[in-house]
Amino acid sequence: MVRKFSVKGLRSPSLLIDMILSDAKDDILIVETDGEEQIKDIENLLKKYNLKYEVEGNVVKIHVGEIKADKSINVVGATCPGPIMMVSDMLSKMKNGEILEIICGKNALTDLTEGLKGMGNEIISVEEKEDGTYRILVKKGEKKEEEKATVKIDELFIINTTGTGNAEKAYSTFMMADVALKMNLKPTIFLMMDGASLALKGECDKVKHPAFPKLGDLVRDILKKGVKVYVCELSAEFRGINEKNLEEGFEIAGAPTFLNYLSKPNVRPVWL
Amino acid sequence: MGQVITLVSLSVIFGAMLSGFATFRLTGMRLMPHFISLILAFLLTLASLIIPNSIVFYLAVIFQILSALTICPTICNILKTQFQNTGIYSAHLALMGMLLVLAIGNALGIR
Repeated sequence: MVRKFSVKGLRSPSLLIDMILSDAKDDILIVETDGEEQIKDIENLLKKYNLKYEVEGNVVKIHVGEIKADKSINVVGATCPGPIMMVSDMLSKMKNGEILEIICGKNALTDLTEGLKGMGNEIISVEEKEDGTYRILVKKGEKKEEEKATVKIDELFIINTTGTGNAEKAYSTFMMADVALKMNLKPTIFLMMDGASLALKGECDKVKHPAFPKLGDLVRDILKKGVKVYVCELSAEFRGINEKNLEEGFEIAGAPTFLNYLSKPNVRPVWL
Repeated sequence: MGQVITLVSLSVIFGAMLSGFATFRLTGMRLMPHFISLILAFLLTLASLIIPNSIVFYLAVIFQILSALTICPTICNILKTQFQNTGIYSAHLALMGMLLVLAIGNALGIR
């Protein structure tokens, strides 16, 4: 069961949580707090009980016992868009509030967490298992209609479809990301179609224009600054790119991640 | 007849230099050994038309073959990873294929 409550304004939220924990069994408690001081107080209590928890902004997620899922699905080995389609199909047959357990490989992890969130579901937990697969617990929800409002665009989604075959576009992909960072815009790069060739290990090091640094150096610099570089799973598959020959720091993702970025109101896509 | 084939080879190399330059600009500076070999093949083929010297002639043939061979790794990589761009390379690729056949014709002494 997932229970949500707020401890805003309380001086010692740990007292209230201690009471709730006494009758909690196989639960996930989502606690909304005022900030750092309350989180510290809660953390001290949780450390005493040796409970697993996650802090996301002002929210603390406490895992009590093992959550029992209503249904379970294994999508290990399926290629994009297989996992999200199988999971969506399963979710459509479930009621709101029910919990689905998904076992997936690393390739589908980002797609499922991002894609399912975009569909209005809640990701309760993500755990890496010993065999290298992942266990995602998702609570079924519905996408709420959002009221129209003016939104400030603060993220750029840079999409490259030409790869190293077009050196100028390859350079501008990473240079634009660098400029965006300097302008306080959060850039994310998505490589698809021929753009996926940039993700092949050592490929970017082969591109060098006399006026600029080696493309490989530029890529490493961008990654160091924390920019996410996704590679379309389908395009990678077409070009024989897999986890083994993937450039370090790049991440394979698929259609759900791509569409989720495009559907965010604060994100501006840039096609190259 | 032999001089005609050499002249056709020269025109194919010159055409390849122009189409090659377009792809060279597109991909940055990745075709260096191939481009150098193509320029040398052009100069030697031109020289073999003017100078009646068998060394110059056979050097021209060697470089004609080398030019066609040095493009192989690049084309293989493009076919493997950037095949949607292959249209851009097709003109150059066609000329390289023709050059290889003409070079063999020259080497076999079809004169």
